[in-house]
Amino acid sequence: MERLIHELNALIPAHGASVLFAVALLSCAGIPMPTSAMMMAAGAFIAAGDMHMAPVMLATLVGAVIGDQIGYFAGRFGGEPLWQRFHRNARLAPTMDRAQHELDSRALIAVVVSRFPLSALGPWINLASGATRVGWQRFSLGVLIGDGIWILAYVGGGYVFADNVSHLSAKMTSVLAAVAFLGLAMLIGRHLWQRHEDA
Amino acid sequence: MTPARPPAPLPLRLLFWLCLTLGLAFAGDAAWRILSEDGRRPVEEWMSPRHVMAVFHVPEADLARILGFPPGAPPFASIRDLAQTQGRSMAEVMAELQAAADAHAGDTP
Repeated sequence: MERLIHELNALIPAHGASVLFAVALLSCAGIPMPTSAMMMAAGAFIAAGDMHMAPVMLATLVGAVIGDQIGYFAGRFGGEPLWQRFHRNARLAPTMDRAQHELDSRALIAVVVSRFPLSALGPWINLASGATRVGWQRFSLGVLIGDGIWILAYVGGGYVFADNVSHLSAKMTSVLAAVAFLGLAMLIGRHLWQRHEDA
Repeated sequence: MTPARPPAPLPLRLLFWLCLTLGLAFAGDAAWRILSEDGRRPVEEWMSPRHVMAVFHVPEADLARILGFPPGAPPFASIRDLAQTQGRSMAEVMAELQAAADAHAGDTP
């Protein structure tokens, strides 16, 4: 993984902010990419005077928002029929209805939090939001706020901690992935426990 | 009185165990990275000359000599690309840069 991060970081000086646009787009559309680590490297380049903050932030934000929209509409047009198909199963339908209701009622906060700190869940929330027909405007507002915080945190982090960016980005990626997966396990575990209690 | 709900479907239970396993694996990886850190910061091939100057306090003249750019104009290029332009091996360039970084390790900016 570190080898891949170094290879991709080396593309930033060669191609500038357009690399961040492409990587943010792909990662938000669901293809695993070390976007957070690359944003930190870009922050370090900004701190050294090689790049300017505004084009980096703008290119990354535009890429991320487009990637999120791809995920949302993939869920809307590809995921919804699949959702309906599973929904016909009488055993799954109540759980799915509850999940849909939960997601719909907390759509804005779910989308924001799944950009940062739970960014590993972002592409899944995009698909689920599209498949369960969360309002596009609410989804887009959440994406804009969440992506903004995500990009500011990592590019800003790289700028401030430019002297230790390699170590920091590897640690942060692991810590945030752990938080995301353990958080998800906790939510599912709570649901399973409630079912167990009810049964 | 509400009727008893059927047990949770198998995919949901599998998802729980998958998330738990992945979460613990990433937590273990983070803990290992934090505990095994020796404080040494190696020069890496994606870094640019200005980044190396800012972080490792290597004088520009030394970098210009190693990476083959004209003094006073550090380019925005990775060490990897500069080494390739010079037709030198990465290992050789990285060893020279690391030696220069180590020589200036205690310097202040």
